[in-house]
Order: sequence, then structure tokens, then C-alpha cells
Amino acid sequence: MSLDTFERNLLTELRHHVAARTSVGAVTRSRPRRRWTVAIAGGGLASTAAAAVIVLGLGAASPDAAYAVQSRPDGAVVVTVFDLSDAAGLQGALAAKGVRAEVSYVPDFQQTGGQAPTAGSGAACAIALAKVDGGLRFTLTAAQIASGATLDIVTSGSSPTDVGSPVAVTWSGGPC
Amino acid sequence: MSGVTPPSADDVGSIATDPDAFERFYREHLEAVRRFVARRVADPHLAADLTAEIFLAAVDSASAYRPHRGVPQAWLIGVARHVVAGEFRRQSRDRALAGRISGRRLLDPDSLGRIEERIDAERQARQLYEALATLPPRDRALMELVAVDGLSIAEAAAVLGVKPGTARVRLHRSRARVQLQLQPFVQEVLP
Repeated sequence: MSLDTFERNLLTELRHHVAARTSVGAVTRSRPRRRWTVAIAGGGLASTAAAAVIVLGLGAASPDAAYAVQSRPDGAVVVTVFDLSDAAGLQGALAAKGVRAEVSYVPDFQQTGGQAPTAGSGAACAIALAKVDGGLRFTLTAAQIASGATLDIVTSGSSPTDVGSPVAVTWSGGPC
Repeated sequence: MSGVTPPSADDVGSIATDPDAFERFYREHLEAVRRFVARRVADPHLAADLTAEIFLAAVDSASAYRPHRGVPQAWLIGVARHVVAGEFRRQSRDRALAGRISGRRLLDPDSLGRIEERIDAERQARQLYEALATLPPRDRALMELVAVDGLSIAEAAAVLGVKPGTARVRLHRSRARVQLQLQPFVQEVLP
């Protein structure tokens, strides 16, 4: 397609942005990873909803691992997240437990931006969020996992150094 | 910067790291972004800023693209929605858009004129967009994508993460709700 002067200039700047972003990323990947702590938006230490939002912020106290994924005897899976920078690792760990999950970075994400509970969702799709040991903990029931739904973890942060990023954890697909 | 081949869905992930992949993506989807912005804002300088911000946001969130959830253009429209909504929130707080690339700085008189022409051409769609403010937020978002942006119901459902059947029900409800003021236009664009 033909571009006007503005669009050509914008393309040039954006190409530079991509190139610079790549070189900066190569440098920052070798730096020690900063840690995140969790504050529940709206008050309280825990909330239960089909879609719940928290705010991640930098903090000092947290375990070394970015996340922990543990099975319970009843088939539920307990997930604790301290750091969302290793999205692929978290998705892989959840997949090993039978949970199809996707971690997304969505600029300017807020709960009202398409993450409200879908029609028909209710207790069967609810996810309880809790602030535990400086991280976010939630439990996925065996029934939820078996339903074939996808677990969506959405944050507005585009890098580990972004702070104050709203995060939502929801099910989509299946009965949700 | 010319002679590039059209991007495939698999290329989206690389737009954040490969300038050539990004250029293919930009050329493929610029028209959709032009129209999306012109249907929502009447200020050409703001339109230039938003165009820059939308592509920047696409670069930053490219790793979040999942082909099974929709085609790249539908994903980009989802990104654009968040960028424009963020700008409207900033406007409501009387804050200026603080973009990393100032689109308006790149404008020349001819380019400004073309943006103004597109904004004029999209006046009807922009009036519809503004009229949909009476709908609940999630119904409005769906109506926007289908009635204002021309996405199919399945594409709009993918953008918003809802089932196509759910989207169809919501659209039916929304059409009934705004029927009196928007009946001719809505009946034209909605199946």
C-alpha cells in the first residue's frame, strides 16, 4: 500500500523502536530479575469472582522461584505467582498439570475492558485470589481443569520492570 | 522498505524483534488502523498520536498473540480498543497523551489533510460510535466492533473473548435497545 509522508516517517520511527527494543532486551535479560509483590485491588486479602483483578508491584520479600504450581490430592491445582516475566515457563508448568493457560500483556488493561464474567459463568468458573507470601495465589478446581476451559492471566505490564499493573485471572471457553 | 511479502499469523510474534517483520505487519494493517481511529476521534493530531500508540502497543504485546483466538487484524483491533480507551480515560482526567513517539510531530500539511479527509468520510460511523454510549460497556464494545468496524460476529467475539453465540445474543439485545435512534444504520450492518 502507498504511504504518505507521515506514515513513512512513522514507519521509520517504529522500525527504530523495534530495533532499539531488541537491543535493550538483550542487555536487560542478563540483569538480576526484580521481584513483584501483590496487593488486592478494592481491599481485603482475598476476593472470589469469575474475573478478579489485582495489582502487582515491586517488593523485596518473595521466594526465589517466579511461580509455584502444586497438585492437591483432590485434583485441584494451587498456583502461586511472584513474577509474571516468565510467562512461557508458567504456561508450561500449568500445562504439565493439565491446565491450558495463556499469559497476556494487554496495554491499558482494566477489568472493564472485556474481562467481565461471561454469560452463564458463576460459581463453577470462580477463581479465588489471595495475597500470600508476597505473591498471588489461586486454586483451580479439578472440575474447572477438566472442563477444557482456558485460563487467562492478563496484565497490563509489558516487562518485569512495569509496576502497578492490573492483573486478572479468568477462565474462558468451556462452561465459562 | 518496499517489496515485502504479506505477513502470516506466525509472523506476528516477530514484529517485536524484527524491523522487517514489523514493516510487513504495518503495511498490511495500516489501513485498518487508519479507519479504526478516524471512526473514533475528530482531531487529526490526536489521530496521528493514536496511530503511533496503537502500533507501539502492538509491538509491546506481540508475544500475547494467539492464532487460535483470531486473525492478526482482529487481535490488532483489540489492541487498538485498549489504546483508544486509555486515551479517553486520560482525557477525562485532563491529561495529555504522553506517547513514546509523538505522531503529531511527524505530520506534514499533506498528511494532515489526508487524515482530515478520512475523519470527514467516517463522520457517520463516528456518530454511531458516540450514540452507542447508552449501552452497557461490554455490549457497547461488541456493537462497536461489528457495527462501527465491520468485524464479523465471530471475529468480534474472538477480540472480546466471548463465545459467538453469546455475542449474537448480546447484539440482538443491543440492536433492540438502540433501535429507535439507530435503526436504519444498525439494520444495514447487522445480520
